[in-house]
Amino acid sequence: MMVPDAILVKSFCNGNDLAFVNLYNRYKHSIYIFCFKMLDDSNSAEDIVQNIFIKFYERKNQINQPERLKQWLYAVARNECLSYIDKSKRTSPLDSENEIGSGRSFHGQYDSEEEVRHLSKAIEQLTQEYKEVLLLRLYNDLSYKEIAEILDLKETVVKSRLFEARKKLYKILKPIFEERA
Amino acid sequence: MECDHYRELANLFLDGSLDTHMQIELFKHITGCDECRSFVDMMTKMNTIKNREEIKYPLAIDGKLFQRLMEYRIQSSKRKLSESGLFNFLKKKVVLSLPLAAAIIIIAILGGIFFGTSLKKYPDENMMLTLQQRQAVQPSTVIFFYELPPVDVIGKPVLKNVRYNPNYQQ
Repeated sequence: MMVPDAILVKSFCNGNDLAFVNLYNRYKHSIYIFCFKMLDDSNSAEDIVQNIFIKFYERKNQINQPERLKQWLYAVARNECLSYIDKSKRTSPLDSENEIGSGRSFHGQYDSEEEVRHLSKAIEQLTQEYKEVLLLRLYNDLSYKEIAEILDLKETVVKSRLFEARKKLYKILKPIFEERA
Repeated sequence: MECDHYRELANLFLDGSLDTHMQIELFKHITGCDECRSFVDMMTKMNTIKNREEIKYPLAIDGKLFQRLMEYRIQSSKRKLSESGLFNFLKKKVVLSLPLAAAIIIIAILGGIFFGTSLKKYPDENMMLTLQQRQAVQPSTVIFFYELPPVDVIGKPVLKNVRYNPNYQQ
């Protein structure tokens, strides 16, 4: 049976570093996936994941609701990614022809690889507000409620944003997949 | 407009939050609507495509993170030590009020003048006294200091002013 987050957070706050390691192992991969998808850059995602967990280590006593640690981690991840994007836009404009594929591997044949590339490129084309909702739902499998808490939105707004994001994605992908068929 | 409603239902269906009754309604619609069926197919396919992509977690992060955490712990323990009692006391600024500081300085100056002059009164004679002589004059020194009449406290005649006489012999 999995120990609830709240108990591990309390234990960590009382000086048990093993509880921290447990929580880190629980969330590191999903947080990394979110950052990697947000930035499409494995090196930056690595740095951001480290920053997130260091923040958690430093500010353990500031977490008021230990049962919502997951939401807290994702919210920090989102803010870190947005500030990274903002910073990199200011220093050098993002290259729209970034090579998609580094840090990924594929289950299946070449067709799968190409489909994954198309999907990733299509998600890249979405604006930030749609992209983050879609990633949290599609890749991190979070509920509407959890996404609403992370983004500080109402659940109805999350639902409608997700719907809009899917419609936009459909518009982008439809001609590509029709052409292939 | 009607299709928009069904696509909204499809959105909920894809997230697994559409009840059975509405699901039946949705599937009734998409059997007769190519565009909505294409939408549902595409979104379902997107889920399978997503599952084919394997994003590996870089193992290097673990090492880097724990190295940084170790450094953080060392720094924070150093900080705690420097904030502890002794160092804190040393760091504390001693704040004196101006009149108090002035009074301390004046007392120090007056004290210096007083003790300086009393020591310099007969410096040569004092220096020339032997240990034996000093012991001999000690009782009358005390008496002289309090300006009392000389008293023979050790059974010998009290000598006046011998303290400063280098030729005195007991």
